[in-house]
Amino acid sequence: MSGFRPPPERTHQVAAATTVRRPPSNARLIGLVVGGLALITALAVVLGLALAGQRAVAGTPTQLTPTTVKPSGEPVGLARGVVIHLSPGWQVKESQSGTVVLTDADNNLIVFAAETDVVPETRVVELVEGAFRGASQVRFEPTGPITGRDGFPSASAAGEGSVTGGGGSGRVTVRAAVVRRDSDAVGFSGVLITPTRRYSESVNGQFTQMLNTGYVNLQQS
Amino acid sequence: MECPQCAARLPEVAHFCHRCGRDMRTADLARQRSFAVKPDEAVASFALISSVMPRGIARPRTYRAALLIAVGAALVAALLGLLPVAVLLAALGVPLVYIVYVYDVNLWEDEPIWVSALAFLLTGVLGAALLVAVRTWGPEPTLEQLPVAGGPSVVGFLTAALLVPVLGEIVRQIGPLILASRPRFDDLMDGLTFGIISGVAYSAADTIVRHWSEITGGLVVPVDPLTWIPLIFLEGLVKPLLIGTATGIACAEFAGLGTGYDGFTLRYLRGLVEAIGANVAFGAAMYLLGFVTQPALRVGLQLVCGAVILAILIIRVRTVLHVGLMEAALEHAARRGVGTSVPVGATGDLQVCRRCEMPLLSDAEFCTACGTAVQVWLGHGQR
Repeated sequence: MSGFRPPPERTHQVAAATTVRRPPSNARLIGLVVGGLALITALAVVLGLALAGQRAVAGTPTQLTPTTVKPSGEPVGLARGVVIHLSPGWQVKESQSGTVVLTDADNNLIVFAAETDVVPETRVVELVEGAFRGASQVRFEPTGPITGRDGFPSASAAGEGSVTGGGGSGRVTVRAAVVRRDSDAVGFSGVLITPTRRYSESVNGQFTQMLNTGYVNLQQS
Repeated sequence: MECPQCAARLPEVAHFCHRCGRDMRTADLARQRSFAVKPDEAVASFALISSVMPRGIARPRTYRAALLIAVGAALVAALLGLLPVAVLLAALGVPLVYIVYVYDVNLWEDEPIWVSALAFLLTGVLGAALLVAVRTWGPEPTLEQLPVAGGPSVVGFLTAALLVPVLGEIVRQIGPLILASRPRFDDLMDGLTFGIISGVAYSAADTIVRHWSEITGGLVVPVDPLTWIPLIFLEGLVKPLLIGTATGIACAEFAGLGTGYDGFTLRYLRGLVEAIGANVAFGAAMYLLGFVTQPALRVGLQLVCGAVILAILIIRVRTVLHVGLMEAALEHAARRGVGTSVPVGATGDLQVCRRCEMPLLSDAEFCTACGTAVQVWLGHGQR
């Protein structure tokens, strides 16, 4: 500690003078806080109403083009003979009852699920909307229209949205596809979830490639 | 009677020595049971108001009520699903109470624009810029925090637990240090308060940036109360006080007591390391606990973790204040000489204790009636 500041100079004589600042009352302080909170509330309402309409333009879905190229990569079985071959860099994170969850080194995410009785009315758009439905700790708000291309044997959809969890929030791109075998309506769905900033055609290409391996296996089994 | 510690002469009714602050009625030689700011509290106490608003001890219930109103308003908004309102109230509630406190004690010495601009707005703007930059160019945390997408990543951990806390602390130090280096604001209490203001401003920016999607996601949305109740307490009370207290400790050490500011001393360095350490621990806990799958449990654990770190910081800031005030008193006594000619008793210029309104002895460092350190009121429009 360097030096010392002498005690206050306020004295009884000084206190009697008008130069001494009179502290505000308790009621005034509480009033200021309440008034400030009211202003913040009003600002929040205005912001909430004004910014809620701002929506980003969603991506457009990639039309799947089934191929008959012989699948390569590690095979992963779903159910009912549906087999997906992993693209390089992807690995199985979880696997249970006809559903596999894949991740890559960037923690992008793909969920493949075997489907039965896939009917033409299946709306692939709902896959995008429901991508986070099972994750109760996460809230997904689309930031634009989710566009889809229905039509079998494959259909795809894409959309962007804001994901919010307890640890933060961010924008993600979701792409989904459904593939069906016409003879028995057996098929599978795939959902790619990736941070929008990290989304690339490379990731989408790997997703599409895996979808196609499943399609080929489905037709040949 | 005579003080056995510094030999100062005291009236028989004195509870505390007006020179060295010793408690004359107990054997508590180090005065650990009588916090120099508020002697009816122990130094090792979790009392919030006397720790973060030391000049507000004359009306602690008012400030306690103000904090409860601010947090309560955010809670009500969250439970009603008014998330933009809840987030902004949680972000700005504590800063608002703190600005009212600064106004009450006139800490800004009739320079509200300078103090507000440097201690609050500068940190808020710089903090928001830093956090937006990290979110734009740093690793994306959101998808990694989905339980199915895997566990923590090294880059994500280093960003959340090291990069952001260190850069954030640097940002938070700028305004308060500029202020504390000015003659009117170079007191330990000033440094502490400006540091806390800067910290709560940064916390407000962090909350707004972190929950921007809630602000823009619609005025009313359904919410899970079990998640949002602890989240409001975390974002609206624990986080701002934690970050503010940590920054306040370092800034208080920078300002120091006495004439002029102490500057970049070893004490400041230690305070800075403690501030960064607390924020690193908080950032690491928030990041790692973000992988807990159950949302209410996750936020609850984050709240508990933040509260524990805050409690440690409260003890630390009280120690910094107490030691600073006691040391200043001893230094003053040593300079003036102990047990010598300073008269005991009232003089023509009778000073009064701002807390208990009892007369102060000449050149007293402590009120002999309630034990409050006179230094508590310095810089309060009385220089």
